[in-house]
Amino acid sequence: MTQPFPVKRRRTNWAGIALVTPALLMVGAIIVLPLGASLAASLTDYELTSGRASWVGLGNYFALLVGDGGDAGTFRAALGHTLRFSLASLAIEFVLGFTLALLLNRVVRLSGPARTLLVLPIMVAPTVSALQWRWILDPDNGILNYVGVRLGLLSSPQLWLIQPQAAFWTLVLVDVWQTTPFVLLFLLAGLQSLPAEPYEAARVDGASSYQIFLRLTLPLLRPVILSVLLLRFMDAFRIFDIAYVLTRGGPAYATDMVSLYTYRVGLQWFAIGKSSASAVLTLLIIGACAAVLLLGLGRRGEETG
Amino acid sequence: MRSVSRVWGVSLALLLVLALLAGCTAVTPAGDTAPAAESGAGAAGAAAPVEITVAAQSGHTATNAVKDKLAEFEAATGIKVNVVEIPEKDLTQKMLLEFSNNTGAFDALMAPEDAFAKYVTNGYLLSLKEAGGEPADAGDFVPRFLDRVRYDGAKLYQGDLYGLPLNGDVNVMYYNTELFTQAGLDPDKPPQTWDEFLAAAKALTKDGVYGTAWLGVQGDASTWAWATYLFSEGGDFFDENNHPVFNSEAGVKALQMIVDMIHTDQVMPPSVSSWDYDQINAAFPQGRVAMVINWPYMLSLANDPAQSAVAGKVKIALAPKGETYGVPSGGWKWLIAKASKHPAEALKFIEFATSTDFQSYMVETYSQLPTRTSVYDAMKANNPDDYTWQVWQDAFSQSARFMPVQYPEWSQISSIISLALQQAQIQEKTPQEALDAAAAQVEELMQQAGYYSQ
Amino acid sequence: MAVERERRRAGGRGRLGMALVWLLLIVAIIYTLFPIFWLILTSLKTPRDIFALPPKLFFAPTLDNYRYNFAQNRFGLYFFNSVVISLSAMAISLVVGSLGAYGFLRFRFRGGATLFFLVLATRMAPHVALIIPLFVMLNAAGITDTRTGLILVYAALNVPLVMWIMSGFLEELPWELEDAARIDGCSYFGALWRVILPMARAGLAAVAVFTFIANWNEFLMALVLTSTEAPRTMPVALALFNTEFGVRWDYLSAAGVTLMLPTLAFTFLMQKYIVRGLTFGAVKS
Repeated sequence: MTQPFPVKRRRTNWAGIALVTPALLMVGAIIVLPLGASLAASLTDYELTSGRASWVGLGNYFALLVGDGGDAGTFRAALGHTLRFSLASLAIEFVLGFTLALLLNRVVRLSGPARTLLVLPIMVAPTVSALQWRWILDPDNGILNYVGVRLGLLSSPQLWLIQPQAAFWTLVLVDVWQTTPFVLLFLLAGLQSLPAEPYEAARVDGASSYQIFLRLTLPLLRPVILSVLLLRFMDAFRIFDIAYVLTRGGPAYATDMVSLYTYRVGLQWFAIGKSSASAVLTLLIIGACAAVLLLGLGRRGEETG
Repeated sequence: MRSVSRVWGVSLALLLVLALLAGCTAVTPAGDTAPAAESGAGAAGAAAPVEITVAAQSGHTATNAVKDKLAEFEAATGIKVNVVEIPEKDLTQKMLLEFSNNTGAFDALMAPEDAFAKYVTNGYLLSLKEAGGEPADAGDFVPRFLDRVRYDGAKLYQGDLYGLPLNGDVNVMYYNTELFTQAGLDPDKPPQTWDEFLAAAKALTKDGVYGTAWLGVQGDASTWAWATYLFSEGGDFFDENNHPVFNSEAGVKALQMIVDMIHTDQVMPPSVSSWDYDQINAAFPQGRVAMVINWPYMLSLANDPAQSAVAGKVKIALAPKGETYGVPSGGWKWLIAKASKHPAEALKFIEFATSTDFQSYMVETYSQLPTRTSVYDAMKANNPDDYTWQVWQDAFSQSARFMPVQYPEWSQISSIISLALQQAQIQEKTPQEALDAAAAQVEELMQQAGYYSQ
Repeated sequence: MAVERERRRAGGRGRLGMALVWLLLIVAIIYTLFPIFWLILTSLKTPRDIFALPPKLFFAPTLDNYRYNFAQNRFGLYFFNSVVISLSAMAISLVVGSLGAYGFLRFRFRGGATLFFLVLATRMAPHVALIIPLFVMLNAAGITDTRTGLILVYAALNVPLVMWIMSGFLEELPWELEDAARIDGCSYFGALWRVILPMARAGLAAVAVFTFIANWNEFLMALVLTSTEAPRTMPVALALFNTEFGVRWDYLSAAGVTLMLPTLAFTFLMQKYIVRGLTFGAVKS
């Protein structure tokens, strides 16, 4: 079953080179080249409108990571929020998505329509869903406060996007709403492709559902889980649209994220050097976290599998 | 069979590579022909009419006025104008990106008060002389507006014209006469000092109505709105040596007043620290806030029965006085891009969009304030009973001050200040702490930018 | 087979268990659908109904907001642009990405595995970091403010995801068939076209849906890389309703619903393939 790379040794690889060249060219020109430009700019104090640019070495990185002063603090705070946000939404989305996938997997009738309804949020543009949530959560005109107070669930109208803690968790909630379907789809696909034989054997042995889930389903799903966690982590860490529309990093930068910081410094103040450094750091951190995730989950999988 | 399909396969792969190298023109023929048809013939061809592209802020009433009146201009001049609306918070950054890359995509543009310095000092604008000459009737413009588009190559606000002023903006107080009467206040005697203002706000706050509100949201809106409080307490943003002084006693008092109105007196809605224009624009016309200090556009909005539940019950007065009168003022401008390929036509367009006829229309339809003396005079002469003209005039003559937008660093300065306003509003810091921290940060920024050696 | 198994288990547990499952599902569905429902409702209201307190569930619905968007606001053009750009970019990234995935899987290169991993890793690139360099590059190539420029950028941004999912999918295909075709006289490409492609259809459909949605909803790149209205896409047009003088919830909601419809239609069209495509692709990657 597992025969990872069914590689054939060819005499010549021309066909293979022809196949991969377009992909490499596109990715090279449109992702790698700009990244290289950012990397180069991050070593200067390049300012776009005045055109000023002189070499500062790793100065921008030091300023962001260990410097004092308001702006450096802002970047480190943003980094903290982003990590906290990614972990929180990843955890909730995973539990919720997995639960829903397991539920859907049990349903025989109407599972198609139920699935369709549950995955609708991925089709809504993040900008639209964020605006829509802002409208629902509006302290004065929003339906949530109105209904909440009316039903006695809330003692008074809540300032969802104004109190720092509430604003942070509101961002998480909206992200969970938007992207749980993605997790659900992947895990459901995984569940539905599991082989039946081991399950029958386990049941003959008298294993409980809980044991089956722990000993069979989880290990068998490991590759899917890994994929989905990786993909989601990368996206969660780069969160932009939702935060930009809902809080813009406020109140008082309590929900500032690294992408918002990079945007603000680069595209509003045009301090390209500093914003590039912040972007490069983002990439490095995502890479490091992804590597940890891969190694950690990968190794555990090998032990059980 | 074998060789045929190999040839086919390789050529497919090659075609793809070629298509990519050639900018994908072969892949998207439909995509490239349609826009030309959409936006007219554009360049080339001597017979084709000249087309200019103009950047305007989406949703601004001046943009709407241009769209309303464009056909007249096109018919009269034969110039085709492509008005590109750009989302509010992106206009200046978009223009800067275009200009710094010299794309030449825009001929003329609408610019807010705080963008002019950045454009002109970076050499992104064409002076009217270079575009074909300053208008003969330039003297008709009110000098305080016209001077805001001047630059002499070294100093701002003097020298040659680099555009024309589109409107005059100044903060005044809007109040709901019906709510005044219900609260036992005299709608003909609006509060004149902050003490009276607070007393009125307390009386007005009841039954789900709040006495007042302000633009508390983190961002430019709050920095500008706070200026009314700061200036009227006798404070300022900078001293004459470019040092930040907004954390002075006056500044702290100005911010403390807002914090108290939210948390102690509770005459502002608790959510006000997130209020942007859209919340003010919903709350005041719905009669849920009785008094606001805002820009001129609010008058037509609040008096338009289609959008407002309080139409006809809204009056204006000077913003309250503290130590002195003081409100921020400014105005939008029409400018010509240096990279314009049709400067003469662009000049014609901006002359049209600031002409007497056009301004009269803008004033009557959208309650924007004109920048021409002739329009002011005509409006006053035609509407002798209209008290508002006196208020506007007093607002300008007695209290209007300019913001420190001459610093190219202003957008960062403003963002630092608005963070402090935010921190104080959500009581993360006291006004003194928040403003001190902001002032220190601005000082550092100004020093890095080379305004003072130590 | 999985369904068969679950049917048996559910039967054993009785109706109570199933009722609980459905109860949970229904709660989830309500949470999922409410914002969309509220969006649609708002899009049919006049501004005064929108701001009314208490919020109105029953009101005289109007299509004026939609009419305004299309009649006064050139939404026809923006919609057309979005369709052209999203579909073209999707097609390119699908072809380029799956051929790339196939090439990396089927042929051995020196450093091929590393290269493959690096291509996948570019998916981590923060878009904010790419924008200004991309603007400068596209401007030098003369394709800022064109649909071509956006198509290229979107296509490239999706290539890593396509390669990721498709390589997992392709790995699971029975390669013996391809070998058989080769023995029957097909070239590599002939076999690819006749044997692999038909088998990969489900995987392609799933990837198509994801890339289409990503392209269709993309905002930041479209905002910065276009200037005039000619190549403007729907998400940028939507941002226009967030004006300095307030959010036009009426027009915005109508535009939001309009924006949602094509992704809905497209997903329904591809519906039966998605889970199947992911089933192969994701599980074994």
